[in-house]
Amino acid sequence: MLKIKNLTKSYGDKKAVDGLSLHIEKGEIYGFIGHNGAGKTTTLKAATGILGFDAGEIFVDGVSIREKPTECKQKIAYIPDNPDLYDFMTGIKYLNFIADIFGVSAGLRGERIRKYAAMFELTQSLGQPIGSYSHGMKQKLAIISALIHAPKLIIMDEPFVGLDPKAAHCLKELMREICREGGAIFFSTHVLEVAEKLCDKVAIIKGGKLIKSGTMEEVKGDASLEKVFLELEEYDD
Amino acid sequence: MIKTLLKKQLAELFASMFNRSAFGKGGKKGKKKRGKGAAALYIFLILYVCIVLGAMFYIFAEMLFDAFIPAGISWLGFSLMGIAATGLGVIGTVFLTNSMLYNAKDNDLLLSMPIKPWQIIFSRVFTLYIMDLLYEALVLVPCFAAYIIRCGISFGVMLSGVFMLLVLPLLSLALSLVLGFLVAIASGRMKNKSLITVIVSVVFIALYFYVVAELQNYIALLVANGALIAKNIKAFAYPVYAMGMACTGDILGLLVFLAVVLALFALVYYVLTKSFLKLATAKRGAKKAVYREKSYRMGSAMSALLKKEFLHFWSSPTYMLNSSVGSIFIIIAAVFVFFKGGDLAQSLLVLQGAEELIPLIICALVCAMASMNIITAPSVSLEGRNLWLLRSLPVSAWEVLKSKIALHMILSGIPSFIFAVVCVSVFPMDAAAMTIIPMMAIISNLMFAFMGLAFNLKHPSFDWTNEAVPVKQGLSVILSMLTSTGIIIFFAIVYVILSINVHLPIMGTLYMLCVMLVCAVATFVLYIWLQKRGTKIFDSLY
Repeated sequence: MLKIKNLTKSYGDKKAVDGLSLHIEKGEIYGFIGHNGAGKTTTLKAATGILGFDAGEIFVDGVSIREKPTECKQKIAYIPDNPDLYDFMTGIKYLNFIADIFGVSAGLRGERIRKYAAMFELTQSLGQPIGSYSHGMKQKLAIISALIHAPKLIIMDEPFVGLDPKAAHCLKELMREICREGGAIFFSTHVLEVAEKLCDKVAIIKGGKLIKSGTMEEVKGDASLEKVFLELEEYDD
Repeated sequence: MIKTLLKKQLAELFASMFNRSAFGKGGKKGKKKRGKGAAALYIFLILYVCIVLGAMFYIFAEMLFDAFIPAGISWLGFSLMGIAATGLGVIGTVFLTNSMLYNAKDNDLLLSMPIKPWQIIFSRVFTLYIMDLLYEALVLVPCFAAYIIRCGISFGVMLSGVFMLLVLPLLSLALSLVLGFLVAIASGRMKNKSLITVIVSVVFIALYFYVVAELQNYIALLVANGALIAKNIKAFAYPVYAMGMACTGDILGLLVFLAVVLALFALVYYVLTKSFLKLATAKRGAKKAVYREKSYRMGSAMSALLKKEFLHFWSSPTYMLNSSVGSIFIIIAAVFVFFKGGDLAQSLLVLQGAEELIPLIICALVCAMASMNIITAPSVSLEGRNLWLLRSLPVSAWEVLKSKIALHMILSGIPSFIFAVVCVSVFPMDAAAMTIIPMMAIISNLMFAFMGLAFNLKHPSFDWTNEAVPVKQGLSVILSMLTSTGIIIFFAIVYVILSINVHLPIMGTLYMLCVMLVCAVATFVLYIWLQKRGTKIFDSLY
């Protein structure tokens, strides 16, 4: 579903991502972990077509994001670490905006908005301006808008930050459901327990380089993910 | 503590002026800061505005003193100029007062630190005082200059001049604080804040232009009735009299005025310190409406982008007022021409060469009013922190740019076209001019829309915390305004030179045709640039 080959991205002289390669198959929940500034967000943004890159290639469902960005973006949904949405829109106007952009029919969007807004307990607030929302509400709206076009691939940057326990639980359930239906999820997190319980595969990045990846068993073996992660961090230092 | 807070306030103020991070290098990685050339241009523009305003107030002061000094009531000239200075200070800082004191983004942060509320207030009030001082200096310095030129310089006048310059801003500051306080209370309860702000601002603009248009008459009236006004001020507004007397070097007047201003300011400051915590931490916004589901309708991606641009535009009074003031004038002018144009045409036709000049003047007017609209010039910068959204969605850069151009054409192009059609149907002109002027309305609007967008793509600014920064102070906005005005002036000058040297029977129409062709070519070149280079720049902005 998502193939990243030798991705390299620099900011000035600093290499944020250095020759990173990953392959996320359909039906997989792929966790992406690393310390702050390791290159996670840069990788995720490059994979969604937000950020250009210096070298390498990214394919979404076999299509190059460099060559056909719009076609790729049609299949993706992205949830950023900080949900900066259009404060001047109401929640419902924002959802309709996203649905229009993705060409979601009136019937389908109504059905999905009802379902997900009820799930995340946001229905009552959909008429309010986004500017009046709390961080958690914005995060919920970003999640609903990401699901409105039933994407094949969801890329999320720290999706659980700001969510209340119930919403976090709903999101985990949704992630599993999407993958059961043949979708794929690639997300970054600092909550290693969540990654350990939720992910089929995991990748650890440090200083822009991939230091370990594979199935959860391959990466952590009998130890905990936290222990493995900390050991890898120390080992390279 | 006070010193640290003051440093922060002043850094913030200069950061917004010069588009730099308030705390050193800061800002997002890879984002360009305003260059030295741009800063120099900005300083030049500020100086230009100061000189123009200063010269204007000097002329007013001259007119007043020429009448009042011989009549022995020179204090009245100072009183009137003092009122003007106070008014200018209040207008200049009232909205800043609201945003700086009650709606400041760092209120919560500062209040959570071991800082006393009065220290926070003092640092902000001091910054506002500096702003008031600068505004009032624009009036007081030329006023004292005009007086000294006529009456000579004395120690008393020098002393009172310095005192007044330092004390008078406290008066406008006190008034700004009261008005800002009222705005903060009212805006906490308002539902349609943007609309009300725009209506109030448009009324202010209308009043301003009315006063400017009638200023000569008002000054003549003041001069003619100086003695009577002086008598009434002495009897019913003693502090105003004291202010005027203080300026002439009268010590008693100075002490009385000082006492009145300091007492008023102290009272306002006291009330402010008592109410600050409550207002700064109050929950804003009207009663929350519960969402009721309506039927869903599917729209195209392009219409969604355009709708988004519209929603952004309507939600921001700053954006509306600063970028589309020309449309307000165009609509007013269209209504005026529709109802009164016939009479105007009759009176103009009496003038020699009017038949040739009328279409030219109308064409220039249509373009000049269109040039006042700079809707696209801050539109890319206004994406700000939301730019990631457009970059993540399956829309091309060209579609995004087109939606911004469409907004400009709907808000500026359509009113311009209607105005042009009304004008060509009311004023007498040949068929060629009747065709060219409406076409010129569309072409000039397209050209200005493309130009603003091109400038903004070349000079974007995303690291702002207040929309007023890209809308009012963005380099692209300044460049758009200067270039569009320059284009109008250039074509006007060329026509004047040509009309002196070349004499053709249809000179005006021919000239309009040539200008239209030149503008059409420029518009086409800009269109190609935006499509090829502009889209690439947009794609690389994040």
